[in-house]
Amino acid sequence: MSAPAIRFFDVSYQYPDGTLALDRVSFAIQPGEKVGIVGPNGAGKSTLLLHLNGVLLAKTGAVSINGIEVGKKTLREVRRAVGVVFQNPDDQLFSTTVAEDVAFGPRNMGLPAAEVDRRVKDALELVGLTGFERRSAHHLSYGQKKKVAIATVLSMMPPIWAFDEPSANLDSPSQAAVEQFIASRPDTVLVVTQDLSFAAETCSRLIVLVEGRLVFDGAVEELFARSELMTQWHLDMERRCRACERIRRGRSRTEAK
Amino acid sequence: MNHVLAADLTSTVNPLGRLDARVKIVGAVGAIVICVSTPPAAFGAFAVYALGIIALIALSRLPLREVGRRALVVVPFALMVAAFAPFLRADQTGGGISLGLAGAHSVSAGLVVWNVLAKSLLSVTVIVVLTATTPFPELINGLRGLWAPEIVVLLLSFTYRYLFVLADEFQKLRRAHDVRGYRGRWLWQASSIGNLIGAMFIRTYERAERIYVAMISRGYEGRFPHLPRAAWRWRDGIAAAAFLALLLTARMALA
Repeated sequence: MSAPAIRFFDVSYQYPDGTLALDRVSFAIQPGEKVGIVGPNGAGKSTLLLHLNGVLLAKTGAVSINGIEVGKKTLREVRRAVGVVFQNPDDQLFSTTVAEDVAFGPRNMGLPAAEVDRRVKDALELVGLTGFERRSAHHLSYGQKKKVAIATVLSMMPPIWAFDEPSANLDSPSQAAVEQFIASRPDTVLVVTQDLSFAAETCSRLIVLVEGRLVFDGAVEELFARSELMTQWHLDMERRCRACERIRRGRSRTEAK
Repeated sequence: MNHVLAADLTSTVNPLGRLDARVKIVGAVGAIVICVSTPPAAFGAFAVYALGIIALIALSRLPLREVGRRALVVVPFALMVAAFAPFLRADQTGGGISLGLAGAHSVSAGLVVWNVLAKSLLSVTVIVVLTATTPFPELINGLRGLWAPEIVVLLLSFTYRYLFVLADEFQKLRRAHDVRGYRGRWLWQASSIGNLIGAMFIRTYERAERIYVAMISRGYEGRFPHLPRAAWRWRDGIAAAAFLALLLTARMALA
């Protein structure tokens, strides 16, 4: 069997101020799997994400990507393998034009100009923004910026994707577009989010983090079958479902009158 | 949102807009150097410069009023400088750079005011025309093409990209102040301006960190990947050379 796409082994991470953000986290994700990492604010989700491409290096334990242990010497390889789409596209789009932003990654990879151009064209086409090449990110809508942010990673063709809060601040149609995009990828995808419904729609497996500890790792259906645990872990889906049910029941009662 | 800088004049569907950005930058800098080096009393030369620039504005079909309005921002600064004119010694070249071309000459206070105003207005108008006919990304690329220091080019492009983002952020912070009854009228409220600036600083700092993380995540290793340079067109170079030659002739013949 080939090496897992992502493997965390006993990873702990403590911030300089003493906060233990990750507490002995272990899991493995096979190539092609789509996994959601969910949990409340401050659960360590973002810290975990930054370990994937070596922005943060595990203080104890080890992270490996496609069998390569993440460390100072393997950063280049690891960053080519893992594409990260950050939460705020304004942080990810720093070039003066859309095309330059999408070309940034491939150029850093040292690809020849013709190949860079081809990848920029293909990536923008796939996110439906052909013709936006010379536009400035400042003049785009939030949903369009998100799509360009995805294109900037797409042009690097990473086998592993990590999304940080992909649904945050997006309207429903844009969320659906991102959902569809994730569903269409044959790659390994990690979705880090507190939006449980988005994670459940895009992933088949969920990992729940609470206060830096991994408290659940299993199929989506398995988690949803245990509503008491969801409430205990403050996964807001439960609350919303109940609200939804209550409103529906209320409606039907008034309609019956 | 409304910004001081929001109105965008930039248009490229005109003869000037189609010129190579490198050529335009060299032309603009050349024109400014020629203008600034002209002795203040050479009124004829200044008239030729003004006509030349107006011709450029007409050629690029820019609204003359708007260009004028933008160029006028320099007047307060120029007047500040001119206000000190009476304190200059009569045997000094006040406010002008002679570049050794004209030799020492005495100037009156009135001439100094004229000198500062005319040169700054003409120079700023040239820059307004340059930026109004060149989209910012092209300007940045042009500077890169002219071997401007990498760090300058990067600073400029990041400033351009994030100026509006930061302006938005500042407006949000100010609104948060305003909705809680802040009116900025009394001296004791000044401390909250300090807090505002502090909050801006921290937000900017954190954003810079996030941008850097996004950059290294896409393989950035300290060197910005270079864009291919656009092909050089002789036609563009000749156009700029002709314009500069006209100004230089006026500079030499009428000074």
